[in-house]
Amino acid sequence: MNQEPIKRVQPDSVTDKQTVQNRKSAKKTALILGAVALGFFIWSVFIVMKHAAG
Amino acid sequence: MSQDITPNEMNHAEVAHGHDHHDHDHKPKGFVKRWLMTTNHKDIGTLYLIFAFAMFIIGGAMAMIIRLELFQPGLQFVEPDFFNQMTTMHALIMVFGAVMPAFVGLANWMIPLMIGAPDMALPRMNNWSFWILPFAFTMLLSTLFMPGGAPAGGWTMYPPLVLQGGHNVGFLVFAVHMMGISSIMGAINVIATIMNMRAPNVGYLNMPLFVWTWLITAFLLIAVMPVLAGAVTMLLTDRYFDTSFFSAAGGGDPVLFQHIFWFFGHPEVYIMILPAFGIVSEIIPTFARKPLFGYVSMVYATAAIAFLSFIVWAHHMFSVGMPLGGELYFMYATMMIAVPTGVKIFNWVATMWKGSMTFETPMLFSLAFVILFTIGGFSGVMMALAPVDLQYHDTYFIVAHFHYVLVTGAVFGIIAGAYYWLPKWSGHMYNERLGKIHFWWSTISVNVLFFPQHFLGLAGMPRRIPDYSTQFAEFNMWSSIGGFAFGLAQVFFIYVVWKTVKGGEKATAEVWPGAKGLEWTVPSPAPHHTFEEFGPVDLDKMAHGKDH
Repeated sequence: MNQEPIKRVQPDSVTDKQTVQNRKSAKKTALILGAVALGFFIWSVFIVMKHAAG
Repeated sequence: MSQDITPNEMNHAEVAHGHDHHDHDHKPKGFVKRWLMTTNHKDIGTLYLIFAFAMFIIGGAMAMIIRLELFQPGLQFVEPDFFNQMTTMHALIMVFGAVMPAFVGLANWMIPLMIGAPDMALPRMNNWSFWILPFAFTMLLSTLFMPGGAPAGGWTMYPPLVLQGGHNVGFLVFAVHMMGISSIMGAINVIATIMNMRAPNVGYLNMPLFVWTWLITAFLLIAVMPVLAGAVTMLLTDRYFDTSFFSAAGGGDPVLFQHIFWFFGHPEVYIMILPAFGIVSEIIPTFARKPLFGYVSMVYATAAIAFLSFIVWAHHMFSVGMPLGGELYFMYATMMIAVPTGVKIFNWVATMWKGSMTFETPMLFSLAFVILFTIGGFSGVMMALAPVDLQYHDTYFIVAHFHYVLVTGAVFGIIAGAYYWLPKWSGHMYNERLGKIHFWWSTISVNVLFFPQHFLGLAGMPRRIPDYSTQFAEFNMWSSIGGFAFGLAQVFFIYVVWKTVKGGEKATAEVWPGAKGLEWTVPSPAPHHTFEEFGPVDLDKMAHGKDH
């Protein structure tokens, strides 16, 4: 029996090209923000360690 | 939809949906696929709101235990240690489990709809952000059944007191870590969505105030949640790995924990109130039938409040002892917050000035917000004064102040938003008479609950105690009666929401005649997918689409 090849499409994803492009930019934004959050975590521990050492 | 057809030429409901066919909702079938594996912003928003409401009821039940014990002087119902567990858990659950997730739920539902985006920018991370929360709170609540019970050292987790708990410390810290990860991922998603997913002709100064306040809130979250995570990680190592970050005996400094905690804690206050400012800024223009007065100044005021929130933290700890210069600085910096907050209050009043006002339930809750939040703001200015704060510190005056800010502020804002957008979510109008009963019941009882606590605090009643001197008996009794009534009012709210979801008068797409915003251009209930294809939206339909 001939069947159409199954296309993998996420049920809630949007296939519009520009939206896909926007999501790529959004991933970059998210990575930068994640790095900033990690920076604040390290900074808070650093401040306390510096205080303890002093 | 072809992009060369302007939205004006099409029915707006179709514009929003993008195309027309029979199986238009594409909702995944089955509970697991629909809810556990969902990446849809509306479903995730619904999950957040249900979760937040469940936590609100659990945290509220703890408040009922507290008010029951305080109904009369003496120890009647619970042991002092359990009372302390209740005050600690009530705060943790309300802050991290109820108010914050409720706002994230509203953000999930409304931000994509308001900016013409098909969904949040990172839908899978959105799913993860939500599903971390039930595990975090199961972990936290499980401490109630452990030997030694739940954390009892206060939600501020000050060492060395908190470290004297049993193994609940580890559970508390990991639960806070998970809540923090969830919040940070949620905030990243909000920023990434607003910055990258707006419809092409929607500029930053076209965005609704709710979107603006959430954008600024999300930056606050990213800056301060990791600091809390750092602080509690060091608590964990002090408790289990013999470090001495906050142990004076080992060369550490317990006061430093307070500085780190409040560097998180003060912006956290604004994290819980700025989105409510946004909600009220959506509702008041709709029911005053006038554009928001001073839109751009509202945006700047929100940013100013957010900035100032980072540089005022030590006003929470005047009594710990600090140099006079420090006290003066933190006092004056704190008082400065009243300026941008005042801009907002006056702008809301100016929006209503000579408007054709009507008083539907969302508007009533918004008006109560403006008045009662201002009362909380005024007592905040009183406490900013370092010399008099020494009198108020750790008294019921503080309890009264922050409950005016967080209950009649944040929670009333959430309830106002729920009534305002419920027809869009459910497709049904809520029963206006029941809504008004809920409003008056809540507003009267919440004032009976919290206003007497100002007098108790000024008379010297300390907070976080299960027993008190007999001179405080009468106001405590009033406060408890108000508390029970307010708790029952929220059970009634469940009934109103349930009744609306189950049926009732069909809501139109616009819901509120004359309401401005892209969310009112999609059908009610909002289809599973909206704004599916990237393209310009009709700026005339937005409140700030063209001229400000």
